[in-house]
Amino acid sequence: MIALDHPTAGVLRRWHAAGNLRLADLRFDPAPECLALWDFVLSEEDRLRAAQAAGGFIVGAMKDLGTIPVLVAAIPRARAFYPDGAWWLPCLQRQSGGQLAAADRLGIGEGFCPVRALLGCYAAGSDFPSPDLDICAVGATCDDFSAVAQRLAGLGRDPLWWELPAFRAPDPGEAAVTLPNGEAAPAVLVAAVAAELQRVRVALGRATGTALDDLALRASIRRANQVRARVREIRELALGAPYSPLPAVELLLTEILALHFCSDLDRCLEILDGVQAVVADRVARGVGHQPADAVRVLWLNPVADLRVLQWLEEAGGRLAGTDFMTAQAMAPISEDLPPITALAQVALCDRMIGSDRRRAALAVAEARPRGIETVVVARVPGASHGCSEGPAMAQAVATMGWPVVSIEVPVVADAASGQIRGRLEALLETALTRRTVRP
Amino acid sequence: MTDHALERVRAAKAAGQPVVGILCEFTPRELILAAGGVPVCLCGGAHAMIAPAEVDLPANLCPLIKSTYGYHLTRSNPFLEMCDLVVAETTCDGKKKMYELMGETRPMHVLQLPSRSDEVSRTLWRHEVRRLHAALQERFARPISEADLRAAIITMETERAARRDLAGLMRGERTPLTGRQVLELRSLASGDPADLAEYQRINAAPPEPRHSGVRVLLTGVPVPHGAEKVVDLIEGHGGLIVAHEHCSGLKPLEIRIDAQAADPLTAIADAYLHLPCSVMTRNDGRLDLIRRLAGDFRAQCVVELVWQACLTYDVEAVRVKRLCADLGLPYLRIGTDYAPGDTARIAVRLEALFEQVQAA
Repeated sequence: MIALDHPTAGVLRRWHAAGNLRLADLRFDPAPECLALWDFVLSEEDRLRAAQAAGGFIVGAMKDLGTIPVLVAAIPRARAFYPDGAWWLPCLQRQSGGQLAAADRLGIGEGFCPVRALLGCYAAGSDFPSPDLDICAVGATCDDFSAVAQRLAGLGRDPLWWELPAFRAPDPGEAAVTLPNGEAAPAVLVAAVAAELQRVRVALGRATGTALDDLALRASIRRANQVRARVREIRELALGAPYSPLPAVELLLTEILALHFCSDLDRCLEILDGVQAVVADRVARGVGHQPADAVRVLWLNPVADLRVLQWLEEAGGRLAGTDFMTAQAMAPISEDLPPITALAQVALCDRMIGSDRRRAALAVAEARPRGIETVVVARVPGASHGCSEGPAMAQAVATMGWPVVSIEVPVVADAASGQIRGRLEALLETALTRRTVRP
Repeated sequence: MTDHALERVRAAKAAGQPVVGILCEFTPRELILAAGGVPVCLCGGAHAMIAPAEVDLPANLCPLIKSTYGYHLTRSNPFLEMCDLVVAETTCDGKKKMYELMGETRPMHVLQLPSRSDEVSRTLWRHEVRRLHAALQERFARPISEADLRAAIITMETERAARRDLAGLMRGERTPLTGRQVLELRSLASGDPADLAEYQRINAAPPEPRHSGVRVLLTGVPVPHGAEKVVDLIEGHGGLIVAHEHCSGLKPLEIRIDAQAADPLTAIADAYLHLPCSVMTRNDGRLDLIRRLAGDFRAQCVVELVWQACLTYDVEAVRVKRLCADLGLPYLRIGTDYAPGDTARIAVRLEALFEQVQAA
């Protein structure tokens, strides 16, 4: 791992100079392909502004995390991004950007999830261009986000709302559909989401003057599936290989690419190809960032401060399972079904729209074959959806014998570093003890 | 009404009637009545239940949710302990997650409430109401006939109309009741003939109008039994609540269902989906209701109550504030919880508000 002042990290130093001060505190995978991944993520604003200046149509998709960008990618010269991603800006910029302070002034204070940072961006016109259309999922996503987006509407924006209903298992005898993640969902839910996505499709077509036909959608789905497949391959290697061939933060960035391709689907595939080649080569050579005996951790939720993931690695842990809220964006989209139906099915794979128990069970089922030894639930400060995730996860893994810790990660976690690092270290020590002394 | 409701529910339970707990006004009481059950409200209003709840729940959660859950953990809400079924709804995040925990040890049916009221959401909600209809029949092994449904609609329509009339007594210059008294007339159990008779008795011969004060429209979060702190502060410092817009007041009484509708289940579903709760997006109906009630009841100011950590009402407050500015009504937002520690501060703010009204 290298720091920002390493000779090969020049590509990142310009982003540090541009205000992303937290980069100086992070460590990076030295592979040029991984540095290119960072550069690709950090340069999204430039791409969006250039695209808009060239007459492109910019969509600010909110909260569905993975579905709307596939629709948008079917439209030539249109790009979708997630203003939700602004929640990382206060960390990356070490609060110097003032996004949270702006949200405070708009009445959305610390009681809300840091995603409120997007309000500050919209109000100031900073960090991303003003979208030509805002499309916001509402319903079973989270109250914080609905509240923030409604405040956005109060600023004069006019989001296109679409209902993403709560997930539930089918009742006995109820017509059901098998989702790409293997779960059964009531057919009525799939039909409802499909109807909503059809409404979004029509609105997008009208706004862009483009006929968003099935042919274009199928092509978009095929390309999205290429991204999703590549992310799944990288993730499988990164989480499953003995020597942890990709650091945690770079894995998180990789998963994020599945959400909206970082506004450039073709370049996204090139970046992923590069990362995949690096990871595959390391696996083949039996090398990695962590020793083979690093404690294997299932990590639930992304963190506002990326440094926390590196604290885990510095303490001797490694990721062997993740739920960074991206599962639905990595699920394969059926290329045999009508496109809107296929998109509706993957939208319902969103683990955030069901119960905590469902989310925990899915994460555990996926991670168990990788020899998980312990679980970290990273709570997002102010996030209303996470109020019982800790207990639910603890219950879900109780039968597995895995110790669990629930930590709350502030936007910039330096002030809490002592207690967070201490708890992570204690958790890993507990896991190590259990290797020899079974409870 | 609360003691009376407890007696009545105990008697019903002893007579073999199922008791069904509800936690939100989106649950159609008509279905429970049609199933031969007694719908009882379980929303907690006791500050004493907060600490027990925080064993499982985070501190930064709304007190109504925590109090309700505290009762669940301590098994000290007699209504809840009598429940054969709890019907919950996916309203706000806090409630949804609390229900998951409560549902581990209590029979529970969760209604998947959509957040919009357009055609797709309406279709989903109709399906949910039908699921509840089926679940009640299965659980209580009793078919619900169309006649049962229509009878239940009539019962609830009669009750809502009587309570609307009671609320209407507050339109006069001087009022026969205080806002607190109007609130207390709400029974925790619906469909009780004795309650209805009492409503009708008061409506027919209301007490002498003798109450006056700065006319307040109270909006915002529900005010469950035991959590009337702000109501008492308003009326103890020169105000008179002439209209309760919130869920413990007029908001659910605005529901109107045609008992002769071709499909009574659909009529019930459609009527309930239009409740202007802050969990709905967009919730313009609430602003319309406030505008109408402020005019009907000649409110002189609007007080908005927001329980701590109730995100949806908290954010919507800014829209209510703007509406009040448009209406030329002084507006005060009070963010608080069930603890009594901030009563002096709230009282000072209320006094300042009322002085502002009187000086105008």
